[in-house]
Amino acid sequence: MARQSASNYVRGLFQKGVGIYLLLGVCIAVFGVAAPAMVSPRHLLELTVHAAALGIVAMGQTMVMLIGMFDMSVGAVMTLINVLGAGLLAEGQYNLVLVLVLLVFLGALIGFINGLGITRLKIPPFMMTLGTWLVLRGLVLVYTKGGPKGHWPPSIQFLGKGWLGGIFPLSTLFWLALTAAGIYFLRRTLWGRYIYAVGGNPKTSFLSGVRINKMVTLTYTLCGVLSAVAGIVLSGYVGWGSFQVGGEEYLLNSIAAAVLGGTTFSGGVGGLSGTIGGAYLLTLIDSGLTMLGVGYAGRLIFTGSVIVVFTGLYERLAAKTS
Amino acid sequence: MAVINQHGPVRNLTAKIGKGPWVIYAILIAVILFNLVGNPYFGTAYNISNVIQQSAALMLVSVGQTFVIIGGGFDFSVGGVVSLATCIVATQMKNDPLSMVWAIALVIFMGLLAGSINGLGVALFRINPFIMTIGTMSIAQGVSYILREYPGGHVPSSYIKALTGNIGFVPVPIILILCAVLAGALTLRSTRLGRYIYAVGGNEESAKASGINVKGIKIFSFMACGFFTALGGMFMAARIASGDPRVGESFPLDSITAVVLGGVIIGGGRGSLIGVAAGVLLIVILSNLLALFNVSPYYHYIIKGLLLGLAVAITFRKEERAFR
Repeated sequence: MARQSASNYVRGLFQKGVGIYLLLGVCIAVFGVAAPAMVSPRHLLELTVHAAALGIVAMGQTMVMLIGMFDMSVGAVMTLINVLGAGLLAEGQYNLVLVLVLLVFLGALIGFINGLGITRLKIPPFMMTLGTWLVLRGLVLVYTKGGPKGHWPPSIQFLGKGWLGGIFPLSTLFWLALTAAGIYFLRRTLWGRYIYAVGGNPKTSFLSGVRINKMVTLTYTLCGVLSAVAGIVLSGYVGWGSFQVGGEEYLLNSIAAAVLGGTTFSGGVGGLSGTIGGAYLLTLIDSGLTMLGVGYAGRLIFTGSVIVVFTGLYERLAAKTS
Repeated sequence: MAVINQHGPVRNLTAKIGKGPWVIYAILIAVILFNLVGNPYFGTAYNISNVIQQSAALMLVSVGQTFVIIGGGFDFSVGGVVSLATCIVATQMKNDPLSMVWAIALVIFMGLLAGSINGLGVALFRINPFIMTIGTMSIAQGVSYILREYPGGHVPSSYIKALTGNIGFVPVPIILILCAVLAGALTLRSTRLGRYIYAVGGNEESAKASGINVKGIKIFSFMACGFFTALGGMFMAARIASGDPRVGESFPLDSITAVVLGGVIIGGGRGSLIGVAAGVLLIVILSNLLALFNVSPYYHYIIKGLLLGLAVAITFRKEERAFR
């Protein structure tokens, strides 16, 4: 019984969004012993620039997971935004702000369609977003014809990789501000509380008068918006448009970041405060693995294992305690 | 007793498709007739053998996918397993018979292992099958990249001939397809294990109450999927004559679309392999049709995505589950 309560304690730590920071601390300590250059404050801060786009898309994924579903199309939305923005902005004939608004609106529209398919046509979330993913990937390939697609303007590149006065990265600031707004939305507003309620127990919330279909559609729309914003930040970081930007890697990592941050797939448990740490830890370990020369294969295996092990931990223990 | 129709035209069509695979066969025959009339190239021996070669791997994988989906699960990792199988064949197989046996045994063991890991995660740890298999897909893909960083490697020509050639006048892939579908259909229809898979997929609680070992059946369905997928990967290695860590990427979506088109319902409990066979042929012939009409392959994604959404929207039955 003692072991049981100990592992429950660990699960509780993660689901309160604290465990991930303990894990992060351990990882930084290990890297500090193994490769001191990795943990210089400057390097740790540089890593947040890599992590910003992932952190923002993981916010959207976290909200969808809080409602008990998930979104397979996030990576494809990022890619679409990347190539479409590059294509529209490359010639300089369109207003930058107008294009950005259009891109974010497009993200919202895709999320809205996902939500409608799930709530009105009753397509299971997984299948619906899988279909969207395929269609978007097709659109990207049709649009780019498999080739590169122009550059993003310097102002967006500054958003993606610039440093304010050489001291603090702008994208990190943007990411933290968005997360703070997201936490406020989820914790303090009615709609945010409804998201937790629907994820925790759809039946009870329906009986209490929450319009479930509306909340699901809203959450998917938010996730679409956040994916589009993440696509813009990532485009600024990469600097050019290509069908290889974003994609599957961001899908897997957004799920892994949310899971590491303590959000479960059964819905209603977790939150954004852990997701920041999850996105950062994944980026840190990615860079560590790259330094060790492990590369793409090792990162795939690592991300897959994280998803399986952590989900297994949460679900198994949840089953035992209930 | 008055039957109140609450569902509208979409669900009425559903009910018809659910009753038997005849609708999908009618569509398949219509598409074939359309091709024969509209495109003189379609009926040539070369093109027909091409269609058969293209369907074999997908058919094997879809047989496996059917086991899992009828059992109420879902397997996204088939793509990783197919890639990994081609990479194992391309790195382990030499020209001597002993290494061939070794490589084949290794591939089948790998498939069963992947299936049992998926099954254990889903049945014992209660991980959502979607998430579990996305995780194992990523892991299998990673191992494929370790074995072969880029497409290539050596596949013995005798092995390629044995799998893609002819026995007499009959192409080997046809024999493979028939054997796999027959073995799968017999297992599902006429063995106790097969009936239990339907029972677990249809209603897990009552299956448990009837004394069925639900966890064991789930693990079995995933292992069957791993086995058939490994066979599909072995055929794929012969077809592309190399190991390719990305070759499997299209398989999860294609096999799910085929299974759903074939009248198997996501959520489990209903459907048959006879319909799935038609679903596979329909997908392959549609791709073939698009290629013959010179439609850019980039559009295939869009068409497949819409087809998947449509098939699921028409056949999805358990409305409550949409919320989970």
